[in-house]
Amino acid sequence: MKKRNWKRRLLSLAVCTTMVLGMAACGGNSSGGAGSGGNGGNTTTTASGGENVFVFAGPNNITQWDPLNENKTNAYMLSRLTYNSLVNPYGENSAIQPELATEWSVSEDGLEWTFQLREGVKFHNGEDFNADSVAATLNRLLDNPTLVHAGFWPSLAGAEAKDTYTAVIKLKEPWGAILNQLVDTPMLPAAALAEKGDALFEFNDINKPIGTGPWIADKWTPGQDAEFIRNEEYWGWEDDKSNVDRIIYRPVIEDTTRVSGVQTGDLHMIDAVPVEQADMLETIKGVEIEKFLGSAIVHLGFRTTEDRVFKDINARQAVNHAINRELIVSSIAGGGAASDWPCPAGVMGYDAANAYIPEYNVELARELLGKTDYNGETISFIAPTGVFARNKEVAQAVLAMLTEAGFVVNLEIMENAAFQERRAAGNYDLYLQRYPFPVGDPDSVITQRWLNDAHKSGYVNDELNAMILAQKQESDAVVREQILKDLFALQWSEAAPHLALYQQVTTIAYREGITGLRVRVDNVFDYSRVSKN
Amino acid sequence: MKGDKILLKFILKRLGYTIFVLLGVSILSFGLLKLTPGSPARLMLSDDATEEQIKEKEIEMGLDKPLMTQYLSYMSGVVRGDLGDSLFYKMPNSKLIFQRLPATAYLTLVAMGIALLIGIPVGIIAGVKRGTAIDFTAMVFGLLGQSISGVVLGLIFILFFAVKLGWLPAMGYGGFEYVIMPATSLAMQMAALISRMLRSGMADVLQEDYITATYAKGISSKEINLKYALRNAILPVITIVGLQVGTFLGGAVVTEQIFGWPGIGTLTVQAIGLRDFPLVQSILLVISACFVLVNLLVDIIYTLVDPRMDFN
Repeated sequence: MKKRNWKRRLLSLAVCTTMVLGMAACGGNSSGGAGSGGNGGNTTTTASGGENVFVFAGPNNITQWDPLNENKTNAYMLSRLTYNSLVNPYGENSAIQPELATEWSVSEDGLEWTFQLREGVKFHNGEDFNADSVAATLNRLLDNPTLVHAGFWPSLAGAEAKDTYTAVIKLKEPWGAILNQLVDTPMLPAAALAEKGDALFEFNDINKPIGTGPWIADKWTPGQDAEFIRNEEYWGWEDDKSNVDRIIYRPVIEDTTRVSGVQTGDLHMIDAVPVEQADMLETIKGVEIEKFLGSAIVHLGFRTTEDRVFKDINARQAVNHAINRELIVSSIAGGGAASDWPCPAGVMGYDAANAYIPEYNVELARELLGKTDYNGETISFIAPTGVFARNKEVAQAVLAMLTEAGFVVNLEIMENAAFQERRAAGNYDLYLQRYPFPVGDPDSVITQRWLNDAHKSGYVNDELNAMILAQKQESDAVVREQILKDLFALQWSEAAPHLALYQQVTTIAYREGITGLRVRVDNVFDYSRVSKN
Repeated sequence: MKGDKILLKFILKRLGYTIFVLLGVSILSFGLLKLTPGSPARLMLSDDATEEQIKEKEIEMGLDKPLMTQYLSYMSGVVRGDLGDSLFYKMPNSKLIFQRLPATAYLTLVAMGIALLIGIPVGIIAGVKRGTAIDFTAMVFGLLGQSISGVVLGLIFILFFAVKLGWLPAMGYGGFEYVIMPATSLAMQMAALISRMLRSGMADVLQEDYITATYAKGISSKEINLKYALRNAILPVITIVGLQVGTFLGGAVVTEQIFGWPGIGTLTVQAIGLRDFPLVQSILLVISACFVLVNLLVDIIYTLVDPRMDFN
């Protein structure tokens, strides 16, 4: 009896041990650093040999490294490290200035843009930068219409190398905003692209993103640190050369952890500091705070089809006057600026002389609502979560303000994916969202969201549409600006399809001694010149 | 001899059940994901993408095919050991999952270890000294542990040990100093539960006749508590541990998120938010398989502890 018992118990123990070892082994089969505790990327902020390491953290997790297929802010920031574009927006008053292109001109008919390119620039793999690179990059957009950036170039007809350092971009119709879009179109290496295709964007031991930029991609573990080392051969170092040897981007999704990280020094700079913590951080020794008014606008979107309340401009203006923008900015959103124009200052089309904040006047709102056919029907108001700071609270504030004006509103706050589906189906009366003006240019927003009505508002205004098309095709910046001003003036009075509420503020926090951050008008931060002392 | 054969038969039978469990999980997860509104194609493209671009992207992702076809093509890969590719990461799901699983397994094991290290002694002492001040203190600890959310505990730990005292790093993955806070915040509720269960278990067992008989035989209290009473009282604890490890493996999502712990929980939540169907399904399959295996292990350990149990 006893003997059998022991044997059985021993066998059971053996089975257990094998299972545990099996599980550990199958876990250990992974590639990349996650399995071996304590080494590499995300545990130490000073790597071996006394390297000067700068760690910055944001809430976005990067899932892929194709710069033409990316739409997240933190990813744009990272592409500024390894890539250059033909132009950049760091001129006076955010004007466009040369980067990889030294000068440019546009043909009479607006269909051909010719760029003179900088000579002597090399990609990180030794390949030369020249007109072939420009052609390869832009033609890639044409050949792959499902790339995210392909959607930003609807009028692209093609690109070719006229000679080694002259590239021509051809359009199907004139496009005034092309330079702004080029700011965010990183130049890719033609030969490497031809050889490796999409594998060029993998970022593992075999393939790494290759650009002409000041930082070279070094290593990355999905969901964890992405590391870049300084490119000593970079063509563009002036007196702003970084003294950092290694830059690390760490996705830290939890706000409190990011904030704690900058307090302990595990992180040297963080973005998207939550409103409540910004004031606290200001009191901490060794930590600095900076707030930037960005070009992102939080707005309401109306569905204005036949059967809906907001088809009537009086209903929309009632909403306009029912919202207390100043209150939202000062007490709910945690900062920002009340909108006085459909676009903020710094974006082309902003008219300082004529801008005005719609009067907050509940009586007027009620009066206007009284002029409509509205009979107490429930308004369907949808809002996403996790898209911008304090979105839920702002939605609730808007709900309260509308209710006070006499609307009966049903607010549904939902996950972003579900919100996008509802909006795409036109299944709403009102929604809360925000739009950025990439690189401070309104063209993509007004073309896609107003002219093409991407979000199913059902609003059609021929005069507005004609102006949108006119500004799009106007290559002369001065003329274009006036068209935009007139266009926005019309839109502001119509309050459709969007009603701008306020301009967002972004707060960053960083350790003392960090300098050199470049900030664009659209709050894309450029860390490539950061120095750490 | 016969015992060995029975053990083997038991294991094979359980592995057989596992196949059915995994099949069920795959169907359920596929169905639930597809029913939830939200399209990965729309989420991958910019906010301004046109309907045509979204449709094209969906075709590229294979999402325009009938549901049955999508399910079968995914499963046909699975039976060959291929868990498919992530829509967003553009790399094999198995690579992503097995890169992150060790971190969660490590955290889970340490958390379980801490829970047992704290829970068992506290439970024994409270059970043996039932009704005394020691028991009372232990049970207050138990109540606190079960009431305080692991999330709050985690944040408090960071603020105190990392920010205020500077003893430990605020986040990251590595050895003792990195794992101790997340593991402890995860472990507290479990430790409290274990101590409470063990306390009542010990108290009950110590009143049994066979224990009185053992005292009569002259065996010391210490030996009785540890060798006789504990053996019996610990049985329900083992079962709970098995179930809880499964839950921990499921990701202790929030703890991982708070501490920046690169485990499977954060991966899952992000994948669901992005509607990365193949990745979510593969994660669920792997976790379910782990859960079943862990429980099998627990059942075997149970028989080691309790010779009365057999595999029928």
